[in-house]
Amino acid sequence: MHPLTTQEIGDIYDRHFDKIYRFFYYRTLSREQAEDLTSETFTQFVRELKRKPAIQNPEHYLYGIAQFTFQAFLRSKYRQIKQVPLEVADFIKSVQTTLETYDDSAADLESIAIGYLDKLPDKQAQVLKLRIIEKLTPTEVAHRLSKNLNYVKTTQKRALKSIKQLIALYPPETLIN
Amino acid sequence: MDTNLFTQLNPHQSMPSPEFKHRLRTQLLQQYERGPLLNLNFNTMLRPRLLTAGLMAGFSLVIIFAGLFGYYLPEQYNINLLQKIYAANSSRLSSEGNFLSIETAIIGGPAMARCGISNTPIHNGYAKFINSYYESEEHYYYKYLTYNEQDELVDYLLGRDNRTYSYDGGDHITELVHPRDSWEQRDTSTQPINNQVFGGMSDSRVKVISQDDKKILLSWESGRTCELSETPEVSHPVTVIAEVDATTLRLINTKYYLGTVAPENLFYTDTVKIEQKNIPVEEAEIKFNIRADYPDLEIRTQEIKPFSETINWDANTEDIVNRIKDGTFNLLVPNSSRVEYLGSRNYQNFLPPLELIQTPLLPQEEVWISAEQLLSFNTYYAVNSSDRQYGYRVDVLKPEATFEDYKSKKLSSRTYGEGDTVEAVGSISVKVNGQNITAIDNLAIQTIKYNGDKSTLTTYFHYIGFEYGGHHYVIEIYLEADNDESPEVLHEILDLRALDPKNSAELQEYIDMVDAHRTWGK
Repeated sequence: MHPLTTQEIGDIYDRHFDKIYRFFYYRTLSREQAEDLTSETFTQFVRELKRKPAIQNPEHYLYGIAQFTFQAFLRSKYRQIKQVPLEVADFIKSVQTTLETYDDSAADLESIAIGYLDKLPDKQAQVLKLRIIEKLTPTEVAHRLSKNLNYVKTTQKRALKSIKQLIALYPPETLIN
Repeated sequence: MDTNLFTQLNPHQSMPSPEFKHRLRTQLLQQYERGPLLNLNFNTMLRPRLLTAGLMAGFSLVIIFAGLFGYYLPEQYNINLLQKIYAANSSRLSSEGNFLSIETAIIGGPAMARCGISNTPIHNGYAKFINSYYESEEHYYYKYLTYNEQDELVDYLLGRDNRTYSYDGGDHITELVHPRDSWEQRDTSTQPINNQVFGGMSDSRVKVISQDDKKILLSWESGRTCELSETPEVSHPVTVIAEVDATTLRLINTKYYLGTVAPENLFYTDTVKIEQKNIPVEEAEIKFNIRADYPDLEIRTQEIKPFSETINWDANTEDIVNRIKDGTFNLLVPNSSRVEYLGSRNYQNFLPPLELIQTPLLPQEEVWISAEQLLSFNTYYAVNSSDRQYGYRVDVLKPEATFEDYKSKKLSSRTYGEGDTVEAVGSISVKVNGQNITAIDNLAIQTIKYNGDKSTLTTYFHYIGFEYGGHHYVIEIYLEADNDESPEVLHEILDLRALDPKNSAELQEYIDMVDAHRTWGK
């Protein structure tokens, strides 16, 4: 196995950058976080290529780094790692499944969020259902629940935070299955 | 779909920015060819530098054009409160190219007056929380300034970006880049001490008593908080030693500072290094070199004789504590074990702060918290095995966490105790491009007496709307006081440019929120 040329590394980057970025984005729902994780993955990848030029399957290796990077992220942010497949091959499938699950339409993102409603605490689910399903404004929700606007905003904020965590740890495809 | 509700699920963000993609690719390939590889973490490393450079270039151009054409920027600004938001719906896009800056200054009551690292409450103190947003940079900056009742600055935190504010793990505070305030960039590892100057906030009464290439000895007047304003020509690493004779103490070192401490907890610290041999077998050795002089504060002329010994992983915490007091110890850390940074109030008075510099890292797969993450702070220190807990555990940081991360984590790690009072903001002012647009006193006094039931804690929101250059903005300010978090004053700029100006329902929602909060505290 000869050391990869710059051109070959560039090709690998071009083939996999979007997939890896989008995977990180869909799991973190944060552009900044996705950029950081992607950058971290590729930097580490190139660093390893310099260190060990004769890597047999560089693309597989790249996803191994992505897997580890995401695992470290979950461990750091949510103190959990079990949601990341342990085998790189499984992780690659997981990336593919995540990308297929989303189709970049706002409606689907909304429906994905709806899929998590029953996993939220009751109060959070109640507010979010009114906001998402019944399309009520915060003021209307407050009126419906006989609560003030602060209650609605607070609960909604917590609900979105909860959903974000749930999506990171339990991607939509795991709900479907 | 309500665009506000699911901002974070915004689908257009699911595609990477071409600029980011291209830049990362170029840098990676260049460095593959030339080496060595740098950390290209875009958001935490690259962007701040690019933005700083861009900002400086931008301002240079503005100054040149202003000089050439007599262009007086403030007269071009037309700022109104959101009450007039309808009238301006059709006049969009008039300010493209102008820089918008928004500054909110919030005065917090005594419950907010806490020192960032130690979380020590300042009796009868208060806090200023100043947020700045610069459209040209797409960055927020904040200063969290804590004052005592004599209006003396006793502590501050500096940070940047919204991500800084979510202290729930893994988020970044990186360099302190704030050219407008003469805050110079702070690199955590390579900058000489000259770059630690924080213009405008230093105390001229600080005196450099002595210095050499390893340490600087400072003193200042009793009761004052001082920062290193004189910058001896020394290179990294350097130890800053403080003479302590007052109720407050602040040090800025090349890697860390110490916050304010109570007299009974006074101590000083030396630079601590961990030298780890990367032994891929049963155990790796981490060497701590710690110098602690508590309770003896006669440190000016005292020569510290290093003291070394090895402590087993299973040594009990008190044993470790006592040994730390005496000098240096080595800690054997089995690769498969966890190293945790624990705290217990019982040990607070005994323990020095640590700064741990580790090279290289232990294999990450096997170490839950790398030693590099065991950053210093001025409370206490303990080590335990995974099945024993002393006190509460400090949050885990990312492997690449900086000390700035740690400061923010510590700020957030306070938990409410029964009977705690959480006091929300006392007053607020907002400036847009340097002009005051609103100043509301006693805006949102909210006092919560925590009764042990977390559900009684809530988050308070306040909204200020304004229109600028035909665009609409709402500043959402909220006091986060829920769950186990510290009270945090946060803000976000909600840019309404994405909203359809013809869709009055969406705008009305914001107007309702603004109106609902305008009467707070009045």
